[in-house]
Amino acid sequence: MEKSALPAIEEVQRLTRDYASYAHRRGGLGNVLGGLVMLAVVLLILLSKADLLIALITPGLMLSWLVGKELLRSYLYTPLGRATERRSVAMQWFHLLRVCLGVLLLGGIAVSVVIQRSLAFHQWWPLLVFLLLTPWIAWRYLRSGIEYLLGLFLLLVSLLASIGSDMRSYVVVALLLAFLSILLGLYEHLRFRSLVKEVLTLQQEALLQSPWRAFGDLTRRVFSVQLSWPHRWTFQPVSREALPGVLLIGVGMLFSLTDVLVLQQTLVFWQFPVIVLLLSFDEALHMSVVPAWARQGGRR
Amino acid sequence: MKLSERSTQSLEATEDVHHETQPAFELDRLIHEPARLAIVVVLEAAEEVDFKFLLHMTNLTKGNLSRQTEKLAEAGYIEVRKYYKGRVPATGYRLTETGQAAFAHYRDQMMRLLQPHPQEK
Repeated sequence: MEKSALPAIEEVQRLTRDYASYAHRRGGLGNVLGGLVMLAVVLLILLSKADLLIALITPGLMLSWLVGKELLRSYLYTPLGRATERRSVAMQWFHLLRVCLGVLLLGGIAVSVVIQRSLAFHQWWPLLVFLLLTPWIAWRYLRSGIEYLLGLFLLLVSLLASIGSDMRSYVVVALLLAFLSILLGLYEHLRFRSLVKEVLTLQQEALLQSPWRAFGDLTRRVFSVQLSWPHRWTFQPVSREALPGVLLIGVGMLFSLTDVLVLQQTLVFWQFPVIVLLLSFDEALHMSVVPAWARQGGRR
Repeated sequence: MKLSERSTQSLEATEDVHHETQPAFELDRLIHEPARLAIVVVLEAAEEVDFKFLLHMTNLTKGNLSRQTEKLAEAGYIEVRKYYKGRVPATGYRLTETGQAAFAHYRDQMMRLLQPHPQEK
């Protein structure tokens, strides 16, 4: 009996955690859809000369993305049943902080635009609508870093288009976000497919096919001195899990440098890179710290 | 070797064995049972899972899974939530704080038991 049941326990927990992350946080094809929506918005900005059209269509596209990604999450990412991700208190606070940051950012931009242009109330009341909707949308639907970025950007475009701002200077940021989202979405989708395959393969193996045997092995080996459970449980490397997060941080930094040094954009533009960095940090947290936290028993 | 010395050594050895095996008898039987351990292991890694997911991950039969989850729920280790998914009734399971503490305690006990014997280090 070379194959211990204990690594199997660890494996089952890893698979459960990964699978559950698609029920709440990871978007998969939902992110691809978001990227496509963003590309559509870019086309709209480039082709349409009427701001009102952009202001009307962008929220519609955003709504279709939000609904679409939730439908994809419900139907595409639950082939083995439903599992909800366990989130640490720290992660929930981070999400709250992110929402507050988004509201402050959009609020700041809205106020600065209203003051700069000395707009009358009847001209800027649509801003209020988007601002009031932002916390709810961000809290309820924009759960991962990339979703948050896309959502916030779409809200920003809607918000500024509603008061007749020129949107063309946003095209570069929008394109970057769109491609980032599509790539990340495809990666997550492929990862989910291999995850499901892994679960099904494990089911074929004796360890999952006969829990009695598998966990019976555990009981029999209680007195064995050669088991490596404590070692495996405590020090399993997380480098592979952290890799996408680290890559995302790299992209975020590249994005920031391009934005600040090459494009030399102002207020609106340099705030986004800061958020990208924050959100990349969030992704890295989820991918590396949370599994380690869960391995320690998930104690809060 | 005198008889008294041998009996003393034998008694010490018995005490050692008793000392080493005692924690095994103190394990939480409710969790230690293989099918229930499989359920708790899955629930510990997620906030809430449904019946179908548990079936996939534990590979128990429907009847066995129902019976074992009932036992865990009776002990207050898991919480059962009945709801409707569209028109289809569904059941969700989550580990309670009592269950989490019990599993953490069980795992600590197991890890202590699995520590290499000093002579074999």
